[in-house]
Amino acid sequence: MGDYILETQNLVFEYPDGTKALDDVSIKIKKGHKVAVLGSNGAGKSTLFLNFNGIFRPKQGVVRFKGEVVRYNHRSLCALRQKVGVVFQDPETQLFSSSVFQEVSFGPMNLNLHKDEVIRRVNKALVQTGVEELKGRPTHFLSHGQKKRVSISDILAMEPEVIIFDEPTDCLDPKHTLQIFELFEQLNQEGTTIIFSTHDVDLAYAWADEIIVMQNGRVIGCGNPIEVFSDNVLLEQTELLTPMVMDIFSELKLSGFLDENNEIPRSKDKLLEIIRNKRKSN
Amino acid sequence: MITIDRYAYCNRLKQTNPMEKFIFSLLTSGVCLVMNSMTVSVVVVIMMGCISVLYARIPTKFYIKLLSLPLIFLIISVLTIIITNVAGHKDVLFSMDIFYLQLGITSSSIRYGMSLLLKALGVVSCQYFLSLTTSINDIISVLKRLRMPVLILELMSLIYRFIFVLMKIANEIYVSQDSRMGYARLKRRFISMGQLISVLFVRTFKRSKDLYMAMESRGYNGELRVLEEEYPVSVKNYILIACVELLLILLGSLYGGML
Repeated sequence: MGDYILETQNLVFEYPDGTKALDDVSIKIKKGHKVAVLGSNGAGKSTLFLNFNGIFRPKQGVVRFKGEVVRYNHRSLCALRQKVGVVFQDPETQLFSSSVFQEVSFGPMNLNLHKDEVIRRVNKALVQTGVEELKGRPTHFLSHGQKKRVSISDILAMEPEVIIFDEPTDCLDPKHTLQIFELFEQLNQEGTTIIFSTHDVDLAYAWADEIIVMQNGRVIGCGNPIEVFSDNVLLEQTELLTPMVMDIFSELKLSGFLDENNEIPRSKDKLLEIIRNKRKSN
Repeated sequence: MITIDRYAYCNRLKQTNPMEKFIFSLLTSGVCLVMNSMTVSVVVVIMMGCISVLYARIPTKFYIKLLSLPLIFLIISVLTIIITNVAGHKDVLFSMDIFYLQLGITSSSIRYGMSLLLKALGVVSCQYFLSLTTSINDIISVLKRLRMPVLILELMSLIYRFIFVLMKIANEIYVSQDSRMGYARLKRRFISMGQLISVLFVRTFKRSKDLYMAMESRGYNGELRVLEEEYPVSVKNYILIACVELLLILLGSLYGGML
């Protein structure tokens, strides 16, 4: 029980207009895991994330943080939001201040920290996302990718235990995507649990410890990447593509180039290594 | 408007303590108003112009253009002061009978008009100095220290941020309409503009709701608490400001009203 940092149990959420955005969602997220949430647009990923953070209040069911049921009173919500941070998909909605420095300081200031500590955290977060040189610039001078990175610093500065990223690589170029994922890896090494939604199956496959697949507000599959992407019924139902590495690997196996006893590789580099080793042994 | 904002972030006085700039601008315009002297007004216009252009490195052309904007209004309003009913005046320079009125210009009305024009220009140049060298954020932080109500300041900073967000959305909608011939004919133009405004209005509501959500998720509870940027306090600057103001007052009392 103590292993799970975030859990939902039979979570049902309805928007005021009656749309059922989440339907009987029960998931458990292990502390220190990297979790990818996959699903088409409108599957309920963002709604789920806002339930994790206590912004949305479920109609039925409960959210648990570290085994404790989230209560929707002021104190409990403050404690939850301190530990669970959400980076929104569109940075434009998240950035409220016209000064980058003030923007990032908003979260830590709300935690009632000492001024020096706030400054330390803001500077650290800006360095981590590689935007420290933008500190003195107004928000409206930044490009979309820069805004995205500032919005990530916003949450990093609060030093939460769980960070939720709604499509973190949206609008980032390959170089910055790589940088952001290196940062995620580093945060994860330090013990932060990371939850992110994405449409990039290759990325989810290579990087996540666990994958949750959603459709129409329901969780229809979850497990480790190899399990999830080997489940043909599930993939057909959700119209998810298989990761390229997996496709090539199984094709090579079918054609007899590789033996059955090879472990399924998770990344392109790993696959290339297997192929090179095979060539050498031939 | 937007260019002023741009210069406010990249001028050579950006790193100077905003409180010093604020006090300098406010005191100088105060002296300019109170001294009621053309000499002081002219000195203030020249001084502020020199500081803005030579020291803060605002391009001369832009500064002159900026200063000429209020000049048109000023000249029109000063004209109505210069031209008065001159019946019974001795120092009439030029007059004209219109029905029963004797409209004209007197040397004292010219002097009064000029002094008003220069005084207004002096104060405008002080305001330009402040707005060209100090960003809105810095001005807000100064006002906060001067105990302005927090609610007003928070509104100011949110409005300021959202001017740019809305401008961006409006521009995107405009481009998307324009690329589909939305502005090709006059009738379409009106329809498209109407749609743009109504869509912008709806978007604003959605934006504010989303923003509130995003702020709430970062622990917002009714007060926008952010860290103010700190600037070094320069005693030298304060002394310099005091000297300049004293000199202006001295100048005003020596050559009061004369030019």
